Amino acid sequence: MSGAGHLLQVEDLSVSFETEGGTVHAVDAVSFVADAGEILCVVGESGSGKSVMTSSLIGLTRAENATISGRATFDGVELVGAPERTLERIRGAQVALIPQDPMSALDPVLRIGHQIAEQIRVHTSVSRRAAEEQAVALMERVGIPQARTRSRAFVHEFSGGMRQRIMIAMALSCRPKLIVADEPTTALDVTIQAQILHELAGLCHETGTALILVTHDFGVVAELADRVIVMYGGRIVEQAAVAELFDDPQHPYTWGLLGSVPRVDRPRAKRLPTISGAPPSLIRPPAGCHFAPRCPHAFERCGEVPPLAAHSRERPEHRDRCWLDVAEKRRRRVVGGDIGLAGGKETIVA
Amino acid sequence: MTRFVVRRSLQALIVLALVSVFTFLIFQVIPNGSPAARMAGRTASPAQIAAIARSWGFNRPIYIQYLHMMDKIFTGSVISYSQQINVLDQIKRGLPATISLAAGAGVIWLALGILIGLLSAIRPGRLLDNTLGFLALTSISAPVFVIGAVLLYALAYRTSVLPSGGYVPLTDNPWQWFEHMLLPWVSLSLPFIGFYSRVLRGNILDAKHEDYVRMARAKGLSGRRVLTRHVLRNSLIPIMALWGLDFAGVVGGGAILIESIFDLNGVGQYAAESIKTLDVPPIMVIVMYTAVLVVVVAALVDILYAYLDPRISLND
Amino acid sequence: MNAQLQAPTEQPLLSVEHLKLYFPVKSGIVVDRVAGWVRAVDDVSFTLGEQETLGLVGESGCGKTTLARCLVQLLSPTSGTIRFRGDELTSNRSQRRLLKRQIQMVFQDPQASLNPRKRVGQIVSAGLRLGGLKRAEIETELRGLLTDVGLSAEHVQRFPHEFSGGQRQRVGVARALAVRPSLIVLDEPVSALDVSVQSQVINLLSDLQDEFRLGYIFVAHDLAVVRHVSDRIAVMYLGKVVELSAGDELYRRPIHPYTAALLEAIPVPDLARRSGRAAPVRGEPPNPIDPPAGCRFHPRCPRASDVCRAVEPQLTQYPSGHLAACHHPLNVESSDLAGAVRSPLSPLEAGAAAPTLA
Repeated sequence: MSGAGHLLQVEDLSVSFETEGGTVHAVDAVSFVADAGEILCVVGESGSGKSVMTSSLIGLTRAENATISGRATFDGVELVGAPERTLERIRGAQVALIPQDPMSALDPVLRIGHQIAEQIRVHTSVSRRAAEEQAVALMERVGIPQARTRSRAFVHEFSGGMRQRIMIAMALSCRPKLIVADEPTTALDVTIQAQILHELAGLCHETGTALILVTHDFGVVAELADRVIVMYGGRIVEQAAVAELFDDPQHPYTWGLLGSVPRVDRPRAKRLPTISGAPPSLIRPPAGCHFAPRCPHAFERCGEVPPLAAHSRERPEHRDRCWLDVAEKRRRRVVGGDIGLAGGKETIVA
Repeated sequence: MTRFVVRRSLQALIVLALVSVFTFLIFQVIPNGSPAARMAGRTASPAQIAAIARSWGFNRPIYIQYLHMMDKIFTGSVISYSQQINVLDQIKRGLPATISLAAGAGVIWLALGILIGLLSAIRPGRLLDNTLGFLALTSISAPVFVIGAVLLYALAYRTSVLPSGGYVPLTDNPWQWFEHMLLPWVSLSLPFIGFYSRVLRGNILDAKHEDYVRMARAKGLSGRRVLTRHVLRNSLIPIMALWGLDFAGVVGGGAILIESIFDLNGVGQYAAESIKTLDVPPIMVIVMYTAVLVVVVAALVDILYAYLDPRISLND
Repeated sequence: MNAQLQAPTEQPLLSVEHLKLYFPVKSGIVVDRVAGWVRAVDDVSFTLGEQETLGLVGESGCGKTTLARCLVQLLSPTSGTIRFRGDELTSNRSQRRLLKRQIQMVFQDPQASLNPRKRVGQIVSAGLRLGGLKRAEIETELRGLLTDVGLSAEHVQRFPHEFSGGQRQRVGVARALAVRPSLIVLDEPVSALDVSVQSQVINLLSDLQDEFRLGYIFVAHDLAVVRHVSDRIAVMYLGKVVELSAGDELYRRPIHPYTAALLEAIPVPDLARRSGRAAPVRGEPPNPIDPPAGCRFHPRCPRASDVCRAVEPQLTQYPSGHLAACHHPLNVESSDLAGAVRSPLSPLEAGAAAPTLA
């Protein structure tokens, strides 16, 4: 992949941290790029490393003793190992974060307008009054009614959807080049979810801001993504343009995920296809392919870690980590007429 | 707000009533509590005792005595049994010392408690934190009269750096006032400093893990700004509430030991002496005064809390 | 399974009649007076047959969780009746205790609903011990239960934190099953789980229903999840049932605009549905203390008219058995309207206006 002109280039990023039980390898040699103006979705379930990975980009992993290695170059600046001052200048101004739970992400004792203005004042030299005016304007822009009055309110006085809109307003406040949104709508009702995602995507397109959206929901991916990364057990197992991913998914885990989503637009299934078993321990992950223990298609070669590689020369951007050859994959992934993971019996969860 | 004020006022009245009745009754049942015998002295005859009892009204039914005393208290004419002086006057004379003690100590323990708590929390688990923690534990566990006695011994008796007791009013001689108050302030503050620093340290460490702190960093705030603008604000709110009540306790005469050791002749010392002589009127008055003070301060603290933390509403 | 929407000829397992649950909002200076009511559940009626699953769907504030808690007697209704196999739930104490065994609950948050200080064996067998069984019998029962839910007997000694979310939820299910209920109320049992684990647990619930002949009330906010387990589905909005129909019917032919909006809002993993869909419904659910007059959905409904703003719609029963409370229903033909009648499950205070086309 050429290095020219990517907004964010991540190479071999690994994050681990020490716990009482041992070293947790949360992210394992992840490499990807993100370009200006595009929407990149990172899909995975709990334990996939998706949240740790995105928060480690700006040096904000929750664990305090995280070890981060590899490279993550943002707009020419190396983020991994960068001094705190550099990161502080980038956070909020070039790279903004939208967290999962807006209720706990806002200071309960400070007014909302103040908190939005605070971010503006950290990065620009405007006066307090000017910053608060900008805050009100931002709140209007994200669709908060009576913005001026509401800017004097506190977080607990807003509903969930409104709180997330406040987070979006904050994220946009300094015109960042990249927004990292970590499951921003998981905590919201489905009708509000639809509104928020729609607005967020719209705003990003309007401002040319790139968006990395972490989600577990393939429906969201289909709605918004330009490109997709699927993570499992700390590694990227598949990455592709969104159309490619849905038309021609290459990794069994992706098939499993796509298959186990309960659908409203298809006839009702007798039994939901599942992925048997549970995600791997990140302290003692299985050798070789992390997904092999749960994969009905695993064979001897899977004891060796499959490299993240493109399966065809025509589509170099579509890569996956699976030893099966393409023809096999295309044959095996259709289960009962749909894409899914062939079941064994559900094994007892260990 | 009206609802709050009305409820708290009712509460104050109820507390006053209960406290006064309870205290009064205690002294009725204590052995050797008969004030008439004490007033008469060791060698009094039963007839003398009976005469005193009649003149003071000790032979009347209990509830009459109670009402009588309440009446005297509220009209300001209550006389103590042992010294035949007006109790309210005596209390007024002791107030300046007690308030000086509370005010000075209060400022010291709040400032130092916060400072030490902050220092401990910045690098938790390291040498400074552990040392300060050890010191805090020591100061909380050491009895306050031991601390006071040791300080007095070291700085007053042995070396005469500071006076060994007594109170000089601020208006008489500010410097001497300060000299006389220094040791009492230090002795009284030490346990509070220890306690407050630990509480603040705990609050700060908890706050540091909160999502809004992480979010503040994600906005680009430096560690220091996050600390002062978000962490401290949230951590200090409970401290203010604690301080209010502790301060009220001291003003109410709760620093009995300190006042006695340093012979400040404040309200606390007066209470201590009255208890020794089982002198009911001063005890009644002081107890009621403290009760009202605490209720009022608790209400003020609640108002402050509601002001500082918008999640808290005054109406329960 | 062909479910009936009218009261079946055989006795229903559960019958809820005009249930209301209002929470008082107190204010006052010296003494608390009631200033208003939060109408969490506002005249809800439905029946559940033996071994049937009713899905109860709605967003936050619709009252579904409150209703669920009422069914297991964690909350007392303000008015209305709940009958279990004909017996009223609100009668005397000993009967209530008996009935409590019959209706059990599985909670949403598998972490919060299991006592972290107790071992799994203790948690699951708590109900068994109250039943007066002997130690050995409890042991055997316990092992059987754990295997039934897909765990193994050796898990008896472990603590909840040693398990994954999906496993914890299985423990919750085992606990509910322990006392051999006839009805289990599941309050968002899979919302907190990952997608692949969700489907495991849903399949498990299906299997258990057949094996133990259970009736389910499956509360969820996710219409997609509910579809796979439910025979019939009720959609709630702000304390009222707005639509009730057989499972698949709801998805193919939603009648109430809110149901249609919910369905539209679900992100579907299909690229063909993508381009520029407008958000299906605007605004947010209003305050349950002060619900809008007339139809509660009217402020957000694109089809609202004057009658919607003034008159609460009755719960109309259409010839197919499908129920909906709307003055301007979707997906109905004039023949449907002709055969439509006011359902006996309709709220008592609803107006008498019959629905019209468009």
